[in-house]
Amino acid sequence: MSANCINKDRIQEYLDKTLPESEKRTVESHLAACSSCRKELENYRRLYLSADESLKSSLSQSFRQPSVDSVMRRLPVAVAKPATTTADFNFFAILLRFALPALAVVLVVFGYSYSGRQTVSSPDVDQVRQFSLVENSVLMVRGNLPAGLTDRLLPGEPYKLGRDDLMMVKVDQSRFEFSDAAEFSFKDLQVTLNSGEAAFELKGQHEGFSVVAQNVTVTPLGTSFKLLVRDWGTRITLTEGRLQLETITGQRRMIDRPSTLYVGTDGSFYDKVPQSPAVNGDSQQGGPPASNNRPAGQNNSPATLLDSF
Amino acid sequence: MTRQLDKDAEQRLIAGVVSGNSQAFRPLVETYWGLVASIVGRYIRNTDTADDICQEVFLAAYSSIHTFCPECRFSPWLARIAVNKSLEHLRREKRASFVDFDLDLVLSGIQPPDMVLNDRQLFDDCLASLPENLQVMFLLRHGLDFSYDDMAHVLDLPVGTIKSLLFRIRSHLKDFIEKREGYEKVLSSGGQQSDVS
Repeated sequence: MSANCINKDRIQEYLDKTLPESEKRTVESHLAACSSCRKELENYRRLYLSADESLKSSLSQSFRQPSVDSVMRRLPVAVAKPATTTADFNFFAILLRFALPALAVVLVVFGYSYSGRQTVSSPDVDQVRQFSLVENSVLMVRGNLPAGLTDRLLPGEPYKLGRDDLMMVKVDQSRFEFSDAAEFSFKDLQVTLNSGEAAFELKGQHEGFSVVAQNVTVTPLGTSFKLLVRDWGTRITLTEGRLQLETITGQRRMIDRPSTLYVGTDGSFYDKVPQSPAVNGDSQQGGPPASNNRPAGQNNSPATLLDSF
Repeated sequence: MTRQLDKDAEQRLIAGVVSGNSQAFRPLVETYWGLVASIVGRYIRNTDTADDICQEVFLAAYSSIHTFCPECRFSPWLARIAVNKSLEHLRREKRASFVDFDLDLVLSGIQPPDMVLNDRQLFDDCLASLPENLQVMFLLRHGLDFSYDDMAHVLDLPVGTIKSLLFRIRSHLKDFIEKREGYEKVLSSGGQQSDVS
């Protein structure tokens, strides 16, 4: 072998396919001219083949059904404790204004619940109830019932409140509040909010529930967070759980601890309220864009996982 | 693994578990049992104990699934739990975790078997003589095709350390393969076996 020959590490990097393209070409060019290195490569290739065959076959062991059944029996039942204090509520609120300019659209893709309050209960008792918007009851906290409405909302029917009205709707253990001249309707497990404000306090099973607003769909999965949409953009406040965000410009961010983040009309993330665009069209925003430092735990950092168990 | 799940199906199952549907966890357990058992089995030889640890891995995964990043791959995340639970068990049993070891000493302890074996048998024998973490390293790379970044996350070691360890061990094993070739040539030529160790 000559001094120009490829060292052992480089050969392995080549076989691992981790070399940059330019270096890969250099290696291949040398291999074409050097039989000694070709032999070395071939020996490593044989080792790789043996390792792949041996270790892939070791993964083919099938599960034992009794073991899987045992795991499933031992899973904690996902039951929300009955609220005894306001601190126990999972509170999910959307605050929207009707006159929305072309704002950054924040798509909340996933939210994950912090299961600290989910306790193990008897596995023999199924306490998960079916969530249904049809079974609701209405209470006008302030103002008068809309015309035609008696004591409950009907699916598919549009409702519009007066400016000073405040309506509370109870659905199973959950509670919704509509105000600020809210216009809304519901069908199946989806509430459509066309304008105004709505707050949602979700308790118990609510799988499949979602809220469609003017330019965002929010699907809560036990996460506690708030959205506030204004002329300058959107404020996202995470109280509990985890959220994945994607703006209309394709920027993504994951937040997994209580914090507040802003999205400007330019689709960028900010640490504080972005300034509204100036009258003269100047698009300068207040405050620099938020750093790209990911919040802790976003990428399954060892610390996050270790803290989990 | 005896069941395959595509990415979308897997994400739906995970989302289902997070939202309270515990039954959505079963297909995940069935799909990844092989991965978990392969890792745990490298650390724990007793099959009953290994089975118990596998169950603990999935229970831990279930309890912490709300921390799982939906855009990430599930297998490295689960593999890390499997490694941690295995090491936990070894520490409870007061056995070393083999994170700190002398690789030269380890490699010098691997001797080529007297019998002429095929490449795979040679590899299996040599691998079995390595500390558990190094065996798992090979499993993650060659069995599960994990990237070096994934491996660093699972084993909680820097990428550079993993590469260094893996490259050196591979080189050592590759040398054994070359020596075995030497044995074969000598034997097939009818000549005396030379001392190639």
